[in-house]
Amino acid sequence: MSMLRRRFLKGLVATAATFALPIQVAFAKSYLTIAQAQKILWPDQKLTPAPVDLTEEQADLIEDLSDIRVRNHHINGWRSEDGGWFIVDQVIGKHENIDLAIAISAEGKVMGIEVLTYRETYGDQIMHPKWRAQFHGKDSSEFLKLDKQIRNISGATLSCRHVTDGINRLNHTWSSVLSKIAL
Amino acid sequence: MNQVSIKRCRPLLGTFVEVNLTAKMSEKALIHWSNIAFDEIERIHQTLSFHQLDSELSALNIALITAPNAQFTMSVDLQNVVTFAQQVFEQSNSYYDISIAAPLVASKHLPAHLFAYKAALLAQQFGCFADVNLEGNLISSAKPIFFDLGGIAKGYAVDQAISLLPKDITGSINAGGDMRVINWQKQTVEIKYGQRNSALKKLPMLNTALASSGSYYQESGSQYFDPKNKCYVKVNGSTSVFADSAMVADALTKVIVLMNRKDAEKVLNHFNAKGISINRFGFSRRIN
Repeated sequence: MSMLRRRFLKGLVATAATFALPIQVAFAKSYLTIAQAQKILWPDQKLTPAPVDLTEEQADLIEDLSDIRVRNHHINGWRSEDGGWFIVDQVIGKHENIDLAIAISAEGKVMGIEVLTYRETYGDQIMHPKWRAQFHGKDSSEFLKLDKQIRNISGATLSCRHVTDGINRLNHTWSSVLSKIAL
Repeated sequence: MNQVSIKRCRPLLGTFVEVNLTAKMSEKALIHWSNIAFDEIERIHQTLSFHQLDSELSALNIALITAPNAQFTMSVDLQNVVTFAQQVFEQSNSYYDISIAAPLVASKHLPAHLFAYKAALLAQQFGCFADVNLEGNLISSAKPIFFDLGGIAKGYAVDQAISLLPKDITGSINAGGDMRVINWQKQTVEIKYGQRNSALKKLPMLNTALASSGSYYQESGSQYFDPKNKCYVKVNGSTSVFADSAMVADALTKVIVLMNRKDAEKVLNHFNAKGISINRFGFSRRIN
């Protein structure tokens, strides 16, 4: 079999697998909306959209400093009147996919963290590109069973260390990039 | 006034803490009360954290390692938790022991500020909770010792936060599985008993607080240390306890996974708690 034909077949199989993988229902919980989190984390100040796109160098620097992968070069940020930040970010652990809102003061101090959406799965789903691509509450309803009512759910303790890693990455993002952006 | 609800979740106490509140008040007022709940949980966390150098627990631990015979004066919160831990130690025939020095010293989980004493720690003969002398808010020990309050600190934080909320608020607080539901009667809870997303067993709530033990996350916290046999134990399915408070529920859920059925029943009954065992297929049965 020629190299080209082999490569073609490989690509074909990979594409077919993407469609063939069964979509398992993941477990998801929604908390605050972005607007609610803004009201809670920055109650007295007006927020102005201030998105930032990291360059390759900037992303590499942050990865080196924090020892954590920078998956997304786009920073979904807002600026407060006194130079602080409100950022919506995503943290992906082995079984968790979490949207977070973080408030950082003008001096670089983390003022508060709120979980916006928490998703958990243990199936083959983690291989599925759709699982990795979930962001900003753009959840496809065929994929997730978002709970509309308040369910009391109890289990053993799950560590939030992936969130801690994400905050560490954000702290370095602030010190090496965001702190240098003029108001 | 309309009924408003708020659902918040913050990473705290090393896990995820949910505060779900509903009341007939303005949204601003309800946000205020949810802040009060989170602030109290944060305050307890600062006081009782094993990992933080500047917590009161760390000060106690360093004192109990370097000068165990000297009396240490505890704050009300620390006194409440340690006194309760002593009661469970006695009722559980020493199965519940917050001084788990041996496995921690051997493992990599010792925090830096205690790690400095590692050489001294390894050379020493450690005591267990039986060596502790408690007189009100004064504590000392016959032998070097240190504590990890872990789960009961979480439960205590949940109880304290709930106690600050006004009577017209309903809802729940869930700190990594240790939960308290305010108007629990006629409510149900779903208890996780396995890794699959569908492994949730729906049961009626039997009391206001609930805690569960299970090994399905396969993290270090999934292993339960048996102080008598000096080994780790895994839990198949889930072992859950309903109690009057989250602190009681958390302590008892840790201890009954280590005990035989008869002894577990005795401890549960003493603390007015109810235990439920769910196997890995989702079948549940009452322990007492």
